[in-house]
Amino acid sequence: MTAMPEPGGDSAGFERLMRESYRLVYQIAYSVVGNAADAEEVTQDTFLTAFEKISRLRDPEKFRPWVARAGWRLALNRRRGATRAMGRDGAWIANRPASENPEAKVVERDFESRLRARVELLPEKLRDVVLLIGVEEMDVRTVAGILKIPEGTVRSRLHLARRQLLREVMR
Amino acid sequence: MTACAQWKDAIAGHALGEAADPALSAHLAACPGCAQGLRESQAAAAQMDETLRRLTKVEPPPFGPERIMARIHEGKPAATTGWWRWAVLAAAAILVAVILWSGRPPRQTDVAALVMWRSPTESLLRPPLDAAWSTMPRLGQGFYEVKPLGEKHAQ
Repeated sequence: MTAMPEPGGDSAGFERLMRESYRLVYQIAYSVVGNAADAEEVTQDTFLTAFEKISRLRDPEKFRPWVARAGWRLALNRRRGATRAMGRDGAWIANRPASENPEAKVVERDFESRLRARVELLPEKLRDVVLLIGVEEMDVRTVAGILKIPEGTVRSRLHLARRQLLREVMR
Repeated sequence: MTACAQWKDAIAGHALGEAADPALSAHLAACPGCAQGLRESQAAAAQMDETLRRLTKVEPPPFGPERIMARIHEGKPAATTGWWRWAVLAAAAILVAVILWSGRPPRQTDVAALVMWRSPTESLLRPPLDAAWSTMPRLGQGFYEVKPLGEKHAQ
């Protein structure tokens, strides 16, 4: 087992762990806050806090789920603070791959903006699940670990959220 | 051509992956409107799932880990880690204030002082010659005491 890096000591071990989880934490943060600037700030704060508190973590295997949950919580705080709320839609649009067909692009964007608006209107418990499950590498078990809820609850919330969204987008 | 209203919920559930019960299957086989509604719902569900995945499929900015390591080497703390310290300090201050307030001695009510107390305006309500009135002789009351004449020469 690899020794846990100590805060203030040799940070090479921490850097290795951080690089392995950076993408995941960034995508979790992005899924919650919805814009690149806030997602990067949240990711930075997550790892800086993790560096300060790493002595509490005994098992390096737990580092990834630990920072994933910490990132989710910090992102949630940021979203509740409603900072840069107006930048959200712009960021979502900017990160989409462009479609070849201009007409299809318009239809696609219209569908996406309607869906995004509906996701924002979901109750927070449903919204968290539906956004987290979309993150790469995330499955029901990982989401359940981050949210600290049973896997069955994740499945039922996901189903409920998809059902509500489908009803809305088909109107 | 639209789906029958009473089957819409079941069709939506089936489009999202729920197993169709025999009654729904039989209805879909017999009703072209609902069969079309199922195809539309399945297409919308697929588009929705794909869009939801795309919403969070983002690449992190370049040099993100390098920036974090630079901040660690500079010794800069996380921006959001200190808020709870202020919350704890505020809570402690409130607690101390409450303890001090509740621990102070109860106020003693001086009953004797209250009984003796007179309003400072009471003297203003009396007429200026009040003292003279109270000492003046009343009608029928002797002002001077007169002794009988015989007493002086009785000796």
